[in-house]
Order: sequence, then structure tokens, then C-alpha cells
Amino acid sequence: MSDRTLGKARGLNSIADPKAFKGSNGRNRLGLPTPPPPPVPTPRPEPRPVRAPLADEPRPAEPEEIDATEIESIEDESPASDSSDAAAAPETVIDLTAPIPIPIPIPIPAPADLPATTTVLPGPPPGAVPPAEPRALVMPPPAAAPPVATLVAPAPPAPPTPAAESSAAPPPLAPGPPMTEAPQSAAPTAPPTPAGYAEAPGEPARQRDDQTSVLAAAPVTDATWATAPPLAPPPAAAASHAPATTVLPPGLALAPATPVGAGAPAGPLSSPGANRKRRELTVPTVLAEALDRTGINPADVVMAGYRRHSEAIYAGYGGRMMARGRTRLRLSISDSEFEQITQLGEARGWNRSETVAVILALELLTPGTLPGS
Amino acid sequence: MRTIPSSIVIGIGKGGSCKTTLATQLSGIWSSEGKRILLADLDVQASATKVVGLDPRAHGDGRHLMDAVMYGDDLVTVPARENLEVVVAGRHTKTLSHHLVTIDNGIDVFAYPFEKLMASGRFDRIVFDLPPSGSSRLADLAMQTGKYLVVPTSSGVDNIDGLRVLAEELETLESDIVLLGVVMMKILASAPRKRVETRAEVADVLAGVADPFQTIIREAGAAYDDSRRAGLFLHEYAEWASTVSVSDQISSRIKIPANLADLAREFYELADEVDDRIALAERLLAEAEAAEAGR
Repeated sequence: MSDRTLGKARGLNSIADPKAFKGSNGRNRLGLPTPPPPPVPTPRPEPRPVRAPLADEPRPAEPEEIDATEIESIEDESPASDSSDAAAAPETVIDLTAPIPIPIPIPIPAPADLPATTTVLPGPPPGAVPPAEPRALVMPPPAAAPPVATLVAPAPPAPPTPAAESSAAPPPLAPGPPMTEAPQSAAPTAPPTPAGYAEAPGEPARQRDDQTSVLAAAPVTDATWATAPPLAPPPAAAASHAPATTVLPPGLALAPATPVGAGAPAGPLSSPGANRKRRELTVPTVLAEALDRTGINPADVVMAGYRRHSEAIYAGYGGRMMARGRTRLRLSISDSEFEQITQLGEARGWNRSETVAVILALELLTPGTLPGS
Repeated sequence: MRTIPSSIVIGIGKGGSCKTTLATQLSGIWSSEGKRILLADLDVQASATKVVGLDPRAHGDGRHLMDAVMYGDDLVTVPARENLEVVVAGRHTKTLSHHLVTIDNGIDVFAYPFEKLMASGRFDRIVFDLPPSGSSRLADLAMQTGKYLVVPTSSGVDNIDGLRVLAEELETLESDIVLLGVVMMKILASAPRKRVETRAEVADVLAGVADPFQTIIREAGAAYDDSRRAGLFLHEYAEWASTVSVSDQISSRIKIPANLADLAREFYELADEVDDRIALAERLLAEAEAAEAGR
């Protein structure tokens, strides 16, 4: 394992530490040599188009490139020296028939997915604009380009309404129906995709096919509409307690709803106890043992005690026990019942476990053993 | 060194270190708070694009960035949410990466479309989601032109070693990027000792240059998977889940992860913490610049 650390890096804590910014390039990085970004970007360098070398095309001379004919001539001129070198140091023999290990520059094969029209003929003059014809079809330059600040695309609508792809300088659109109508009218009826992806009406044909479809659908390149995934359903839908109105986010629709238990009533709210949750509290062990001896569901004992003693507890009766050892107590009670216990405890400054312990003590233990009794 | 203003680079390091998770969740939270965010997906796998709910093939498959860098076109962005737009990655991203290997002025060519977007005033921040280190020239260029760096890491020897590799890469690239800190991701909430040990290891590698973020993101596989399947951010998923009653969960057989709300809260806290560190870095950089000008 390396013991290297980030001690030489520029970090938040070392911005003000001049020693930390003597970079390996010898300049003081604390000096913030980076000028503030200009308001108008500098012109970008000439683009370098990717092209496929044609079979019979003369390759432009590159200073770094190794010429195969040159290698052959070297081989022809000094075969003896090569053989002698090979005899003296066989590990240094260079197999000229093998492929050149690191050709510089690396010729980039023509990607199959690039439009054939992006192939550029050799020797583009300096400053020449890359292939004009296909580019003009994809992104026709506006006749009079307005300033960048005025070219901001329309603000994307909030999801789930369709939103438009935009760029800093959107080109003029092809004649056709206004792009603000078709997607918006189609959006409400478009079902969410199972995978959760936003569909872009109109554009998939361009993207899923290759070059030909790119040209065919070119006018909508910058005006493609995206349908963002639906977000949270309206609260009313979730609060209605009607299973049929539950709206799931895309991809989360599981198996169809089935009734809970055989012969279950129509709705969970109509079946008492359906909203019970398991709560885990800790009570003194002596109370847990007393509770266990009753043989009654602990929740019933607690709620019975609550109904019987809550008014007295509110009035100041009862108090917390001093007991060694605590045992976990699991109660299966509803939210409303739990809330009642919580409020009772808050009135006396107790937490829920303490409140339940007091209730149980009042309910189960003999009078006279409790503080304040 | 050329720097893209207000750019935040998420990642560098080995695969599976939660770079995409962190980039997308932070972008989602910031955009929901009103910041105008551009999420630039530079990974050929287009994971960030998919997390925000977009299909890469339906949005250029990485062609937009390739056209902008190679041909000087205006960079096309795809709206994903309110205040959030995405530079979509895809198979053309690999072509672009190969192209950038062959040219000498890669930094200028790469930075220009993003600088142009920032100069237009359309965005407050750019968040770069990087591919794993060494797999793409785009990762190096983002490191060389980004302004701030946030590094996610998980526990384990491999991940800590990944941080050490980061030290070497930063030195090799001679980057001026400011490391804001390291985020510890996907560490079990029920493993306090592991958390303490990991934090100590990370602090050891950082060597005082920056601090680990206080917020630790917990491990919650089901929550990540469900939100990703739904094309929702975690905070969106948690918000939706909070509106679903228990009875509806039972009747519709929806299983909402129990730790979803805590996970969303941790990302909220982390976003605030990154915000604070960015503000601190801006102030310190301004002070250092003023001090330099005064000499």
C-alpha cells in the first residue's frame, strides 16, 4: 500500500498556506494565476474533425508519425548491423514486421455510428469550418445571430410537463406545427414508461436510428421535448385511503392489490386494529414479569390502565419507579393510542417508556408501593 | 490553468465509489432549492443521465457534447427538472474521449462550451459526473478545468487506496482544483466503529489539506435501487413516500424502505455542508487574490 497523502494538493484548508502550493510545475499556485473568466469566451481553437482515412488517400505528413517506407529502407540499408546487434543483444531486436507499438498520432477509425457525411477530405485549410452541408442540416446557423443573452431558450416547464431541449443559441426551427402545442397536448395522455425514462415525442426516431434519421429529423434537434418523470402524486390521492387512487411513481408498481387477510373488510380503516404498529419500549423488569403473569395482551393491559388512571396521572397521581433491570416490551397499538400515551407523558415530563411503566404499575402493582400513592 | 467558473467536479477514483449517486443527488437538491444547475454527465455509461430519468438514446446518446467540443456547436442541454438541465452522455462520449487523446489543446477545446454556457448566465453551477479514473480523457480534463472537487469514497482498503491514487493524479495533472473534502458514502448507520475508523483513515490521507465531510451517507441499497428504478431523486422519492399512508402501502403492496427518510435527510445535510464549504472557499480565494494583488 502506498503511503502517499494529499499533502501537496490544493485543498480548502490550505488555500491560505503558501507552502502548500508549490506545485510540481514550479509555479506558485497560491498566486491564483488563473485570471477571472472573461465575460466573453475566447474563440475556441479550430475544431479537429474526426475522419476515417480513405484507402487510396495520401495521408498528410505528420512529424511524429513513423513512415512504414522509411522503416523498410532502414532495414535494407543495414541488414548486417541489425544481425550483428541481434547476435550481441538479442533482447533488443526489433521485429519490424510487428505492428508499431505506439503510433502517434493514433488514427481514429471511423465510428460506425457517426454520419458518413462527417468524413472530411484531407487538408482542410486553416480556419475552415467543418463539413458545412451536414452541419447546416443538423443545426442551421441563424442568418443574424442575436446576442447570446437574448438567445436563452424558453424556460423549461416544471415537470411533469414536457420540457424542451435548449442550447445557448437555438437555431431556427423547421416549418411545422408550433413546438409548444404538440408535446403539451400529448403529455397528459402519455403513460409513464415502465423504466422510468422520459420519452421525447418526435425525437426517438432520430436517435434510435442512425445517420439517415439524424438528417431526417434534423430540424427538431434543439427543440426536442422531454417528458420528465412524474413526481409525487397529489396529496389528495394518497390521503384518500382508497387503494384504487394510489399513484405510484414509475417503476414502483408492484403486484396488483390484494386484500389483507382472508375475508378482510372493504377498507383497512373499517377493520379495527388495522393501523396498529409495533412499538418497542422498555419497562422495569418487575413490571414485565407482572404483565406476563396476567396472560393478557400487553397492549390491552396498558390501554385499560390508561383509561382507568389517566385522569389521576394528569392530576399528578403516580410517579416513576426506581427499579433495577429493564425489559423490552413490545406493544402493538395504533397511532392514536400511542399519541394519547405520548401526550400523557408530556403533561408530566416523562418519556413514553416511563409513562407506560407508570400506567402498568398503577394497573398491576398493589397500592401503596408507588411513590405518591 | 483554465478554470470553468462555478464548476464542481464529483469523483475521481475507482468505479463504484458512488460518484454518480453523489453528483445526481446534490444536483437534484440544489435545483429543488432554486439554484440553476447543469449536470454534465461525462461517463460513457450515462448513469447520471439515467438516474435523472432520461433515456440517453432519446437525447443524442452523447452527441451533443461531442458536437460542441469537436465542431464548435452550441452545447445542447436537456431539461430534466425545474432548474436542472443535463448534458447527456452516451456512446458518442467514448468517441469524444478518443478524439481528445489525439489533440494537444484538449483543455481549451473541452472548457470552451462550458465557459460559454456559464457566460450566458443560464446556470449557477456546473456539476461534473466523472467516469472512473483512467478510463477516459474527459475525467482528466474535468479535473484540470474544474474549480472545486468533492470526492466520494466508501470504507475498505481498496477505497482508501483509491484516495491515495487521487493524490498522485492531482500532482500529475498539475490541477489548480480546490479539494473541498471527501464524502464517506454507503457506510452502515449501525456501525459506529466503522464510521470512526473510516473517518480517521480518510483524514490521514487528506493530511490536513481538507477535512472529511461531517455528514456520512448511510448504506441503503433498497432505497437507492427503488429511486433509481423510478427515475426519482432520493428526496423526491422520500417526499412521495411521506404522502402514502400505511393503509395504502399495505393495500397496494408498496414496500417503502424504512431508512429512506433518513437517507434523504443526510443528502440534504451534505448539500448544505458543500454549500458552506464552497462559500468558504470563495471567500478564502478572494482574500488570497487580494493579498497577492497587494504585494
